[in-house]
Amino acid sequence: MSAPPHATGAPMGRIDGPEKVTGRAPYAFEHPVERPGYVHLVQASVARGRVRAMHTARAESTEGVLAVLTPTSAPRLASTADAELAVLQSDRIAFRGQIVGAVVAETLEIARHAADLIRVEYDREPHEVELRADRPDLYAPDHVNPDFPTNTEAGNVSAGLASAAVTLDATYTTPTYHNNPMEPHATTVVWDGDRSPRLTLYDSTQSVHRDRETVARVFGLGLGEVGVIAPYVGGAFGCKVPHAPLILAVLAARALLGRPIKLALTRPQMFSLVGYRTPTVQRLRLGADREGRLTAIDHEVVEQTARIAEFAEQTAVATRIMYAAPNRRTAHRLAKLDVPVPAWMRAPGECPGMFALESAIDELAVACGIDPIELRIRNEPRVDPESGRPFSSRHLVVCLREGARRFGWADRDPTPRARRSDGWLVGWGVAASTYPVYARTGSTAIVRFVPDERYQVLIGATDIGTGTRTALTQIATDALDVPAEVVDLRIGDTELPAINVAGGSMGITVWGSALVDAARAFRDRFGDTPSPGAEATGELPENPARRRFAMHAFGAQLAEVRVREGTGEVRVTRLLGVFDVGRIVNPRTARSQLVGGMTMGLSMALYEQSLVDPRFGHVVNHDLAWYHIAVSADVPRIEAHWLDVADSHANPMGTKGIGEIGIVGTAAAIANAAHHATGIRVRDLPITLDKLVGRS
Amino acid sequence: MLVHGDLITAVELPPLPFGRRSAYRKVRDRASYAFALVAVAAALDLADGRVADVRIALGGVAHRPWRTRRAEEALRGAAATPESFTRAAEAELAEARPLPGNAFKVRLARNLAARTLLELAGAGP
Repeated sequence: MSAPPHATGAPMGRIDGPEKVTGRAPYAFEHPVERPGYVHLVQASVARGRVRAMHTARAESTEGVLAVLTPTSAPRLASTADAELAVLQSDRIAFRGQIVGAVVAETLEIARHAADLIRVEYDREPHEVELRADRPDLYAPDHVNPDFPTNTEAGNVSAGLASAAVTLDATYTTPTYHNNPMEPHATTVVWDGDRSPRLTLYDSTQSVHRDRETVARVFGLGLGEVGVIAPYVGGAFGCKVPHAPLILAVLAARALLGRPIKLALTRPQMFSLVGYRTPTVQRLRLGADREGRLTAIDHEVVEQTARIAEFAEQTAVATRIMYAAPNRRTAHRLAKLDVPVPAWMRAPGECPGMFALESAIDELAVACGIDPIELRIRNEPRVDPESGRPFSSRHLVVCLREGARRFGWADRDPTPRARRSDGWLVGWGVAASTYPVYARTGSTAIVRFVPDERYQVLIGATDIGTGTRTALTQIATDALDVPAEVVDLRIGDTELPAINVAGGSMGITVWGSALVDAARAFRDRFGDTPSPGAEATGELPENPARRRFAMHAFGAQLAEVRVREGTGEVRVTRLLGVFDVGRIVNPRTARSQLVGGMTMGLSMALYEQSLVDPRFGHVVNHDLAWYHIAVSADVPRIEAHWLDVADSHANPMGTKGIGEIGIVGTAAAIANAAHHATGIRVRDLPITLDKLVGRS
Repeated sequence: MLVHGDLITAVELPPLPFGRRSAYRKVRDRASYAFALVAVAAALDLADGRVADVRIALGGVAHRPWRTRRAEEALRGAAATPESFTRAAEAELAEARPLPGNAFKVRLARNLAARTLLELAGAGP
């Protein structure tokens, strides 16, 4: 390219900010359609069994009811291969809260009222919903999400532990977590035989193309018959991918051809129908010499999946690349339970796994009498311990040192319970963060020159609230070497070129690379003076460097925690992160991503847990009053810094992804700080005051 | 006695001389928008370093607000010291029957009640 970058790196304000804050941005439920029918669902009140009978007469005779769907009356699907999406196709109940019926009515209120009038009779069967690490039927999956080996082993862990001067054997647990984006799952469906495409979905989704493929497959339609539009999405975190409610909305439209359909989940419904992060039981065994150099790392994970479909979280995968040790082992085991299918939640794998590993590293540092930052530096690997390949870039040590400098870590007295302030015990903790640089092929982009000297940049990406629309505009601006004002970026529609899902922190890598490729192709063919109508297509090129290098982002997080003597109340009063995430496209939206991730990590450390009643199998605290997420008063001023060192191997922009790394390591930094404050090691999240009161 | 159709138009709370020295403390799982795990309401009247009168109620520990008459009785006339505040709270909680999931509330209620009284004792005349 001719000129040096000018838009990338600038703190451009969100292009869609004015639309969003003035309420003019249409979200999935708000797209205007003629006379929509509103859906409210009926959910199973048993965790396992069969629907014996459904009494729907009162609902059906309610004025304003358009249709009642049951397992017997609902239209048949073309494919039920994905059991989670086989909505209303059989009388079997696989988990509490499963969709067993639905009412479509003229208004949302009528639909909800009529759904409450439906009485369901069940044949109950005994269920199991509690994860226990001592179950005899734990099994090893073929691989863990998305395609990592279930087990790894190098050297001899037993020998490494036996010969160690210092050993640690500790078990850490994390509870079930549920995604709670501001906007619930919502869909507006128009199924009209006279139009093209026949079926149009306005959906709150991370991928319009994945929605289209899923709906086409499940309903036996051609891809060209389905269009999906998602200009604005109010948060996702991994849960805005096709789940049962999307299929139900289309089923309702199928049953009432000609009537548009609207379906929005209530907050409680989101606790049983759109995935969750599995609880984990993690045993960490570490061995080290007197200087704190690791001789062995063993990370065993027990987690859960559903009987109807498997999802195996990659909880121990980050442990494979973090520290040098001659003897290393990781393993995942699953329990199949009568529960909804677990799924993605921000940094699946790394998030719960690094809580355990980074807590254990802190415990080892205490046992060795070595500063936890120094212990990490001593175990910094020169190459990826797992593959033996060099890292494309790895500046973890710089992050740790820079974080320590900014935090004032040198003043820290390592003794627990050494600092008191006004009735509060004060502690400082540290942990490392990491997240892989994923890149999946299959994304294309189009650059088109149109009258009035403007460039249309077309890519079927989605902005799930992260600022993607703005960052991609900046990348396209630089790739075309034009002012940002002449670039019209179009995203969020299956009419646009296909892309991969917004997930895995790879949006900028994958979509940005495709945009840059399209811009290059455009300039190669048309030069700097194109005629209107000139158009070029680009795609994410195969990156040969991916075979030569291990590619990961890194970071260091430092926390100050205060625990009130006598009551055990816990407050995080400082949180600081320094991240090695490659080049930053937009400092303003990037800071939001990193601070948002750290806030979610704080929330995980102190508050969040889905409490399942083993007798009935449902999440008891299924709303925002009882599923505690950090409120503003809980969150201190959070500092997020970055090194801004481009990774020249990762992609043309030099980025490494920022969407998820902020949540990785936060909970461990806070738990380590809580230990430093109180001398109490909490290994079971969240760190609620009942675990500290009377002991602090 | 209220009869059908009556409407309460006002509730008069007689002024308590020692209500000037009162406090309400609420401990919860997050800083805002959460129910109390344990709450303490207390009013304390001191004379010459001793407790002239005291009223204490606990929230979050029973099916209703819990007036701690036993603690109050133990404190009347006692020295206003951390030890007597803790002893009084322990006397009140001696017969508490917690469940496995809320056993921590006994320690929490004791410490919160004692601390609230101590704060009141140190708060001005």
